[in-house]
Amino acid sequence: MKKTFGIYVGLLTLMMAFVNPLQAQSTVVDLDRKVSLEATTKTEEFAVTVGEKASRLDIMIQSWVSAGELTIEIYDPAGEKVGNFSVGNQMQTEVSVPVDGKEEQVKGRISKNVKEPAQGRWVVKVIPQKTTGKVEMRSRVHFD
Amino acid sequence: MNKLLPFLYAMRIYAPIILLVLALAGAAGAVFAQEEGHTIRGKLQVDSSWNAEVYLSYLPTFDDLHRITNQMIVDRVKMSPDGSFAFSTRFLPEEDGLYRIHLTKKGDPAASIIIGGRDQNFLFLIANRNTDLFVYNEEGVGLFDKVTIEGYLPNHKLQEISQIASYIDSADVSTSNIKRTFIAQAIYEKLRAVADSSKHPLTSLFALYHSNFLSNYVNNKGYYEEYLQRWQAENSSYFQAFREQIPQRQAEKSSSMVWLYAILFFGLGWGGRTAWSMLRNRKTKKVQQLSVQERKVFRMMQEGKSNKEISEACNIGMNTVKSHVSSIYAKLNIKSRKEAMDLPKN
Repeated sequence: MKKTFGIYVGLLTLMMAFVNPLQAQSTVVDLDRKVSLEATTKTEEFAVTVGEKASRLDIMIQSWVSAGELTIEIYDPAGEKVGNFSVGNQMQTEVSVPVDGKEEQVKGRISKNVKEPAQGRWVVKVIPQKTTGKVEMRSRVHFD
Repeated sequence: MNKLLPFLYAMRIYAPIILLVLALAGAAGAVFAQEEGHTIRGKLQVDSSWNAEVYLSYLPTFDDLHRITNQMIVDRVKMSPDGSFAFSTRFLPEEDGLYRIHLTKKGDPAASIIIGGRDQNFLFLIANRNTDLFVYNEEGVGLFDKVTIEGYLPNHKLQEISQIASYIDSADVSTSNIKRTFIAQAIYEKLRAVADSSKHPLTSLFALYHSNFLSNYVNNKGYYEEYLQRWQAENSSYFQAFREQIPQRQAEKSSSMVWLYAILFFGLGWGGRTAWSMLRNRKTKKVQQLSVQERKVFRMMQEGKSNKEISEACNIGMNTVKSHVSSIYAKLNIKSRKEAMDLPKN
């Protein structure tokens, strides 16, 4: 009887050991956006809201430009610029080149990974100047 | 002696040709040597996800650190299977400039920039026409995470600055938000100290551009005033772009422009008034040159009287009045009765 009880307690302990990590598994909030630009000049802002107790923020933005100039800027909730890049393609043509024609394109990519990110509104600014191309944004907020 | 004669005869004919060939060979050798000249060489260990091509871009300002266009790429070379590559620097300007070498991921266009993460694909260099550099990396980490630059000394400083600046991102790991802010501030402070102590203008500015100077300027004006004073002789595109970005200087510039406009406005006003007054005085003086009868006619003209009224009042004929009026116009250099009325009344 004592032996059976010992086995039972052992199994229960093992179960608890497995159940706890399962409960602690992280929650993830994904946000994907795609923006197409056709000789666009209007600046757009995209916000990533980081809530309380977020353990990590990953932002990845990439862009392909076949004409014009494009600037991407990332701002933290305090308004500080924490990352940026610009890509430009000064093609002397009225006809927009398809964005899949790789040789004519210019590509930019930025990754920002922040542990324990500041709570609030992280902003991605997309600043095109007569830009033809596309922008892809991927953000992920982790909660442990 | 007889045997030597044909040889000497032959030499008389062939010696100039031999000398010419030797001279040409020497010149060609010199040209080839010059062609080889100075180089930016390197040996990079890359995995199969990268294209075996290296690009060299010219960055005209520090605002272009994270900017890429096809036009910025000044040269491209193939990497040999062992990762070796070499750019000739013979076409570069004689002055130091900021350059960036980058590789591309398979499937990406030539003009592509990747910022952050293991795939960061570029390295900054300072070079000129006479620069010799050798760049190599360590395997197993990001492409340029552990890179060594041998050769032109300012690049060692550039590496040191990049290393310091990279701590800002590594501070993201396992620290609280407040602590991270403190670390970032300390790193910016360190970068400003590097900028201050750096003897080379480009390395100095490179450090400053990594120190978040736009935010820092408001609280640290003295530092930037002294900095600009120190590098006031620097007229490169790098310093010109930097000067344009100092907000207070722009504010001061616009404030001084306001003052300039104000002085100009008041100056013009005062000048115009003085000129008008001088003109009036001159005409007043001229009035004194009129004869007694002309002055009498002039006063009546100023009162708005017609020739007929003047004729009756002065008891003179119309033709005499007209003659006086013509004389008054000529002496006072005026063309109408209205101008006469505008002149000061005696």
